[in-house]
Amino acid sequence: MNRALRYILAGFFFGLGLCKAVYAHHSFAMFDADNPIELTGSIVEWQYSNPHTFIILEVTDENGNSTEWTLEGRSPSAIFRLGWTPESLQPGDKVMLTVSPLHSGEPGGSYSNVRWEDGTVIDPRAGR
Amino acid sequence: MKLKFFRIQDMVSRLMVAVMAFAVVDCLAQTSVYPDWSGQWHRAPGSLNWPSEGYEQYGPPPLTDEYMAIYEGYAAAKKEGILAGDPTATCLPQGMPRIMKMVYPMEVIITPETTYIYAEWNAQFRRIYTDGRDWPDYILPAFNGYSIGEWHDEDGDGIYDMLAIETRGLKGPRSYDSTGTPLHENNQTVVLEELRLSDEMTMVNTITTIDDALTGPWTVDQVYERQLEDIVWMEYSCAENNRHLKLGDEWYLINNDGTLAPTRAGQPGLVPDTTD
Repeated sequence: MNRALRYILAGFFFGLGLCKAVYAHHSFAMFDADNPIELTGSIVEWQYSNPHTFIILEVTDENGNSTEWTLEGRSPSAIFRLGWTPESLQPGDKVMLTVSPLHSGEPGGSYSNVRWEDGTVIDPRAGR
Repeated sequence: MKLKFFRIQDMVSRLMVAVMAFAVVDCLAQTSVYPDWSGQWHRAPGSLNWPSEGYEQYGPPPLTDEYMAIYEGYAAAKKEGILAGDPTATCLPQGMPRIMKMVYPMEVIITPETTYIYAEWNAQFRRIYTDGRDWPDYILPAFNGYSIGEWHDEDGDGIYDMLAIETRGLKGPRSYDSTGTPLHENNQTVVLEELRLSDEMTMVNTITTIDDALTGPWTVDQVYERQLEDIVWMEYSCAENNRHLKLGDEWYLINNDGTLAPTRAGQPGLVPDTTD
């Protein structure tokens, strides 16, 4: 496979994977994929870890109350090959995420569609 | 005496060189009949969640009524947020045949006596014995089982092109996939594989599973695509940050502060008692 074709495929899977739906190696049954929500907040931690990455996101509501969300994403094995590194996100970054929340209603879920606060889709290969 | 010593030393040196040369020639002669399956193999699009997304091509797995009921029970539980029927969520190995889905990349390392199949997911090796051995009297069960392979030269060009593998001696719990398609709890599964290239960049694994949860043998193809440049291998340690915890029949998500978030509606949360 030549280099150009690989980049095209990488771009395709980047869009398919991080921008639309989370695919994981095991079941994500605890997350309600049928009722996704949009969350905007500040990154507390970007855990670039196995088996999956996690974003710990601080979300502040209209009354000024903040809640820390534990949000699970794809594995480094999947996203490193798409350009994501431990440095792609930093504490304090303001981001928007699509979240499939826990069925229990607790502040946890799976994340996808990672964007900057203004809605721009994050391109990890573009640098910061 | 000194002269004699040097003669002996010279003879030994010549003998060692001859033995090494013979070993190299013998090694080259043996490896030349084996195919080049080097590189990094990625599962092909369209086989992303075999077999659950292979239903269109292969139909649903021919589960017995008993195991279809188990599968449907898992499906109902999942709608409630219960992570049922997928042992890998607690970092157990996926086992055979699920490991051959290769959610993450695969490497095939061929030696005359053994072919090793490396799966980046959980950093596992399958060991396929191709040294002509017979089945041992006793097999200690393992998630990936005990595998014996046999090389075939299907086109008769003098180079092997198909590796037939039989795997027995499996341990559970295992499932076919993340949807929870079950294998029988007696773990008498036998898996037959035929691994071959369909072209230089594509490998097809024809996998036949024989299991008492099935009404008969079930055959599907798992396809892999080759990468030959810019190869990167990733570390994979599932225990590093697995936040899915099963206590009894209940599943929890471990919050960043160590508390346990319930995953289904109506399930109580837990704050572990860390006092002495």
